[in-house]
Parts: sequence; C-alpha cells; structure tokens
Amino acid sequence: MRNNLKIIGILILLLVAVKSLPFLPWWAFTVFLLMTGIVIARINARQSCFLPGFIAGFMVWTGALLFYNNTFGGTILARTGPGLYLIPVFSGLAGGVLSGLALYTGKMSWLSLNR
Amino acid sequence: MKKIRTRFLVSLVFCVVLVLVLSGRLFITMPVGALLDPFVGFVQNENDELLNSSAMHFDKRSMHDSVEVYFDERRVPHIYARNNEDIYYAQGFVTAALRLWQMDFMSYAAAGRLSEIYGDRSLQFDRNQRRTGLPAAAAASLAMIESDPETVKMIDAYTRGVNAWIQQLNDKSLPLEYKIFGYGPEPWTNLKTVLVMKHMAALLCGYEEDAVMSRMLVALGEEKFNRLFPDFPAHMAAPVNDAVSATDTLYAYLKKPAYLDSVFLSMDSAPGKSPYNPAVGSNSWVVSGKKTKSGYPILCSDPHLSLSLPSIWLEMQLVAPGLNVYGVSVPGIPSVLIGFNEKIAWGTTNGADDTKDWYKLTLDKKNAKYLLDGQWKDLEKTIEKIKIKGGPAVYDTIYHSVHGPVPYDNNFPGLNPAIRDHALTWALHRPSNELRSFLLLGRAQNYTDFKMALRGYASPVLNFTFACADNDIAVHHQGKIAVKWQGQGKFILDGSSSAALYSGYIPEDSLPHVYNPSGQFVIAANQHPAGAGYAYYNNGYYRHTRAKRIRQLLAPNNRWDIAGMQGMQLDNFNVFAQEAKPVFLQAMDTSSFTAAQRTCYQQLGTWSCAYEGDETNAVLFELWRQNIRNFTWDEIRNFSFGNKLPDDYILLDMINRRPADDYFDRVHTPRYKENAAELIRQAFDSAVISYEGMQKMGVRKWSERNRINISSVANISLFSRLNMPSNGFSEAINSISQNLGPSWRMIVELGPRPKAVGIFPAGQSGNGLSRYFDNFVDDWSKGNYYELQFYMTKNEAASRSKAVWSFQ
Repeated sequence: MRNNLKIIGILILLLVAVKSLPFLPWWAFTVFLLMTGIVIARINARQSCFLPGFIAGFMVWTGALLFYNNTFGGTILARTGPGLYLIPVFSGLAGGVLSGLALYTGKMSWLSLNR
Repeated sequence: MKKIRTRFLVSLVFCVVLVLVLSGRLFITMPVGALLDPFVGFVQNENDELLNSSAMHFDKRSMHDSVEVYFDERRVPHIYARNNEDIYYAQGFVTAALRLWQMDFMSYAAAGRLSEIYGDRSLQFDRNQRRTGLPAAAAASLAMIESDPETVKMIDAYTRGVNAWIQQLNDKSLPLEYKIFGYGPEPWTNLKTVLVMKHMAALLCGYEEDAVMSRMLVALGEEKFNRLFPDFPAHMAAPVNDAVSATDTLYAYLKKPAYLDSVFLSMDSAPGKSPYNPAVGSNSWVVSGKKTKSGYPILCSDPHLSLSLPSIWLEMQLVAPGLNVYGVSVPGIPSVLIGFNEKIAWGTTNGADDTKDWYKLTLDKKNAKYLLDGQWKDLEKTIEKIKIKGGPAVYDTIYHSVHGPVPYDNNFPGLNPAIRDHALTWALHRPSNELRSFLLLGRAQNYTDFKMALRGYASPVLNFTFACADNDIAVHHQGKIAVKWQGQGKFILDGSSSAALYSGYIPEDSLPHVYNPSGQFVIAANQHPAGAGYAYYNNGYYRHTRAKRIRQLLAPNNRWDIAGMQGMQLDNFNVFAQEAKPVFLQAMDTSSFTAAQRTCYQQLGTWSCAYEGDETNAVLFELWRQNIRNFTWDEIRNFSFGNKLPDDYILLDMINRRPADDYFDRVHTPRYKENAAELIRQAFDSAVISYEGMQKMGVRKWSERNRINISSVANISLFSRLNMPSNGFSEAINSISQNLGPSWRMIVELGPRPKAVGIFPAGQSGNGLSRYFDNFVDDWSKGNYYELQFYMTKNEAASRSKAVWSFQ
C-alpha cells in the first residue's frame, strides 16, 4: 500500500515536471511514463502499474484543470452549465487512462524482454 | 511468456491508438486530448492576464521607436506611436493579439482555402470563391497597393506586426479555434490583408438579381415590368444628392432589350438564391451646427451587417504624428474604417449600386471559343490548385473571356444553373487601393482633405458622410462606377456583342454628392444616390423606408444633441406602416366581423406603427401585410423564378389607384375575381387566425417573434448568442432582424473636444473564454451606449488605463 502511495506521489511530480517542459507535444508524458514503467518493473516486477498510473494521471489533470480554471477566472462555467462538472471528469479520465496505459506498457515491455 | 508479450503488444497498441484518437488523427477530427489537457488545452485560454496587466513588455523588433498601448476599461486599445509606420505595426500586433483566428479565417475564406482547414466539405465553397474571381482580385489590388509609396509602408508594417504576435505564440497561448480544429496560424502576408478587404467588399457589393429580373421582364412584358419594378418609383425617398427631381413622378421607362427573350434566357432553369444578402445596408446622417444645441455638427453612423461573435469590428484609437483617430477597424485591415479625429468625423453606408453584371456567352461546340462581334475568340484558361486537408489537391480550370471569368460551366454548375456559361463582370475584379483613402481619412482636417482622401476610391461603392468642426457637412457617393446606358446591367447582357462592354467610368466630380445643403442635414440610408434626372444611369438595391423616416425626424428638429440622436438610432417606427395601415383598415368591409376580428381591428387602429419589443400589434400587422403581399402577387410567386416580388409601396399604390386590378384576383379562385377590398379582408381573416395560433404557442409580443442570432464565426454554438428576443424591424431605423442589425452604433458631436458614444454587440476580444468576449451584447440589446474614450493626450490615456503594453 505504502509503495503504491509512494509511486503515485512520484508519478504526480513527474507528470507536472514533464508538462512544464516547453516544445514537447501534449502526449509526450506518455513516453516518460513508459520509461518509468520500465524502471518500476526492473525494481519490482510485481508492482501493479495501471492503477497507480491512472490515479496519478487523473489527479494531475483534474487538479490542474480546476486550479487553472480558478486562477484564470473560470468563464467556461458560465457557458456550459452542467458541463462544468463533466469537463474535469473527462479531463481526468483522459489523463488517467493514458498515464495508466503508458506506465503499464512500460512495465510489460520490460517483463516481455526479461521473463 | 506469451501472455506477457500479448499484453504488452495490446497495451502498446491501445496507447498509440488512444493518443492518435485524442490528437484528432484517428476516427475523430477534434483533438479532444489536447483540448482537455489542462497545461495546453482550452483552460489555458481562460487566461486574460494580457488584458489586465499594467506592465506588459514586448520587444519592439522591427519598429523604429518605442510604442505604448493603453487599454481602457472596455479593453479598447489606445495606441501611441512616434512615427507613421510603427503605428500600423502596433495596430497589426494588437489586432492579432485580440482577433488572430478571425482575421486568419477570413483570409482563408476569401482565398477559397477553407478546404485546407475543414477538408473536402468546403470544396464547393472554395471552388465558388476562386471561380467568381475573389482571390485573383486580391492579387491585382495588392500590386496596386504595393506600388503606392505610402500604402506599401502601411501594409508592410501591419504585416510585420501581425507576424510578431504570431511568432511569440506557443502551445498554451494558441487561440482556441486553432486548438479545436487542429491547425496553426500561417505567417501573415500583405496578400492576406487584401483578401480580407475583398471579403468585406464582396459582402457589400456581391448581391445581384440579373437572372431573376431578366426572366421577370420576359414573363411580364415591358409595360407591366416597368409598372411593378420601376427604377425610380413614385414613392422613393429623396436621394443621397438631395436632388429636387426625386419627387418627379416621371420615372425612367426601361425598354426590353431586343435580344432578351425566352430563347436567350433558357427559361426552364430557375435562378438560384444569391449567397449575398441585399439587406446589408446601413444608416448614416449628419446635422450641421445650425440644428444642434451645441452649435457643432453631429454625425451618426450605424452599419448593418451580419451580427457575429467576434464582431467584424474592433474599436481602437491610433495616435502618431499628424494622426489622432478613434473608430472601428476590421481585423486584417490596417487603419480605422469608420470614426473621427479631433476635427472631423465620417461614416459609411453601402452605396447599394449594382456593380455585378452577367454576360451570356455564345460558345462553340467544344466550349473552347466564344463569339464576339461575329468572330470566334479563344477562351483563356487559368488553373487553380485547391489543397484539401486529409486528401489530394484538386485542380480546377477556370475559363475567361473579355467580359471576365466564366464561373459556372459543365465542370462546376454551382448553385445557379441559370447563369451557366455566363461571364461575370464585377467591380471587385478591378484593382483598387482603398487603403489609401482610409489612410488619408484618419488624418483629414477639413472638407478639402476629405475630398482628397476619396480621390481614386473605387470599390465597394459607398456613401461617405462627413462632418467637420468648422461646420461643414457633406455626403459623397463614391466609387469607380461604370457609365451605363438605360437599363444596362439590370438584366443579363449579350456577351456576343462588344457594345455591352463598359465605355468608361463616371468622372469623380460628377458623382452624386452634397455639400452644406440648405436643409442643414444629409442622409445616406441606402436610398437612390441620385434622382431620375441624373446624367448617368444607375440601378441598384435601394431602400426607401429608413431614409424617409430619418428625414421625417431630422427636418423639424433644430435642437439636436447626442441623447436625441441615440433615440433616433433606436427608433423602431415603420414609415410604411404609417402610410399603409389606414389604407388597409379603410379598404376592408368590416361587417360580419367575429369578436376576435373586431378586437384586432380596433387594436390596430390605435397602434403607433412602432415595432417595440412588447408590442403585439406589430406581430399582427406583419402577418397581415405578408398575406396581402403574398395573395396579391400569387401569379408572380407561381413563376419558377418568382422569389422576387414588387416593393410594398407599389402594392399600396395599386390599392389606392387601381383597386380592381387583375393582381387582386386570387389565383386559387378561378371563378371569382376578387378586388382589393376583398383580398385585404381575406388576408386579415387569415392573419387573425395565425395570430391566435401564435398566441396559443406563447408568441404574443414582437420581441418573441423577432428573435435574432449573433453567430460565432467558428460556428460553435457555445460561443453564439442565439434566439435573443429583440425590438426593431428591417425597415425601421433600428434595423434588426434575424442575424442582421446595427453591427456598430456611433454618434459623434464635434467641437473643441469631440464627444462620442458607441457600441457593438460583441466584445473586444475574439477569445470565447475571455471575459471581454461578449460583454457588450446585453447593453447593445437594451439600447445602451458607451462613452467613447477619445484621448487628446497620452497622460489621459495612461491615467485611465486598465492594462498597458509597451514596446521597447
């Protein structure tokens, strides 16, 4: 459990760091997560990857969306009505699924070469 | 082992596919992932810091000197430059910062390049643009603009300014529409500026009805046609040049051209509907100091265009040596197009002249040659390459004759089969340098400067109204207008004869104009530029009702001020209803009214003829008027091309003078011949039924019927304001209907310090997520005005600023 939390924490920091790098396409974080998945699998082949990846991605994307929305004054709220709640959820899902998949793929790639 | 490998491959494939889908490259076209990404997606566009920062610094780059931009509380930029080139660079930069996607999009649309953004569903549109000659016109005008030493500096600086903004964009700050549609801005060029100019011009001078009127003339015969569609009707408003001959009942009678018959016209092909809107007009009027409380002239201008978000207009003030002008500009075009400076004010309305003519060509069997004066001439060819997003480019061959391009042929029938194999002569095709006029207008200090600015102004034909603090007022109907014989251009012309080519252009000094008239006011509201006695023939899409109402209000009052003018711009009164209502009411037989009919009849009797938002009578009257119109002209509506009906004043005249006319006989009652009284009564009965039906559906008041749409330029309903209830009427001064209305309302009172109010129904920012996107709409809708902040010194600008940009 503690391992999982540690991993989620590290992933969150990693995601925020990667996203602050300029000149990279929006999906570049998947590449970084893939490499991280390889590293994790190398350390502990049994560590589950999709779920921590998903949680970290979801939290970063939804959290950042709400953070920026509030900082900038949030006009999207006035326009979309009920969509206001769905948008952060969809954003989180997109970030979460991609993060989880990327991490998992990394782990699987290591395992498929070393098992 | 195998299980692990399959899991790896499956998850890898999933990952890649998901990234592709969310990037808009697989299954869907919208890059949803990039948009939802909080670090680079739509949420970043909510950032308004640029318009709120009190100290934003930019590098001055290729500008010669430093520049400051002060944004007031409505985020109108007041740009202070130290020379006359930097001012246009800064204008380009600031305009791009506020409206980049809009101006880029307009340039693509004008160039017939929408397929590069939207794929092959835009192909028809793009082909039509190329074939009707818009991009070619832009290229020709660009050459002329670049050969003028003043305008080339202006356009070059503007382009550099726009590019300076584009170059500092990144993934986060990219405008929202680019993110949604998955592309990026290309570098701005001088050509793109001219394309936007041609786009604007086409909106104003693109409408024509040659094919419809030709068929009408052949179907009705010369005598009836002249009676129903006269060029100079008895009821016309006093023309722009205020000539006395306006009140002549002698109208110019048009003879049917000998070649125009049903064989020439191929009467079986019905003309399509024009993509241009004839109602795109405007109001502008000026009163001299003799009619104002202040003793100084007041100029009013409200151009009527399709309402959009963002607006076609962008407010700004431009200050440089010899220049201090405030007004509205169009994103993509340097200078201010309607506005005022310390000494003068000017406005523009559509000249509404017909400057688009079709010539039927006689082609040989191979469609490679056309007949001209008995000789076969080769059709010249140009080939247009149209790039398509996600597909191979399309090559389109366009044929040209001496009369102009042939837009519609076997390869591209277009939406109008009636003008297949016809050549198009359009004023837009002739090279012109409008930039020079607007460059000089902003700097004009008196009437002489104003006239100098208009010298050489060619297209689109506009009425320029003018006021000067010296108490001069004027209006000029200006443009390069072809000299035409009686009726030329109203109908399809015979392209096999060179006699149909234009022989020349009306000399500038002979164009209709008025200077300091004895009545102390001038009016330009799309009415006739000149009366029937004018030396040169003109035809166009002139309107009468608004001009009449404006005169009705201006003439008796000698104590005008800005507040009075506001009331006038918001006037919802329909002069036609004023004249027609008593005639309609008295014409009918009122015996055997039902209770509902009697109530309606009595209500209408007391109606003020104003189309106010909460007025129920306007709803009823309009239903009645439409019925009278449709029932009377049912014969014409039965023509396959019959989407054009005579003006309502013609109908009114007929009711007064020829109540037993055959037109009042309704087509669906062949055994009975109705007269005017009976037809009006039937129209009334039907209107009352419809009216009751509407009331049951909850539509009672005029504003519930007159709902307007301010559509997003990107066609995204989230950024549109749809179905807004509104007062106003197309024929009233406050000309609001459907998606058309006063896109800018401006009133300027000159004096030692000009005072001005204005408003447009949108916001300064084109960013849908900015709080400055549509913050003017509600005020515009309520008829409110903002005080325009015209600064005479930089200190004033600085002290009132909410955001400051400096370029060093």
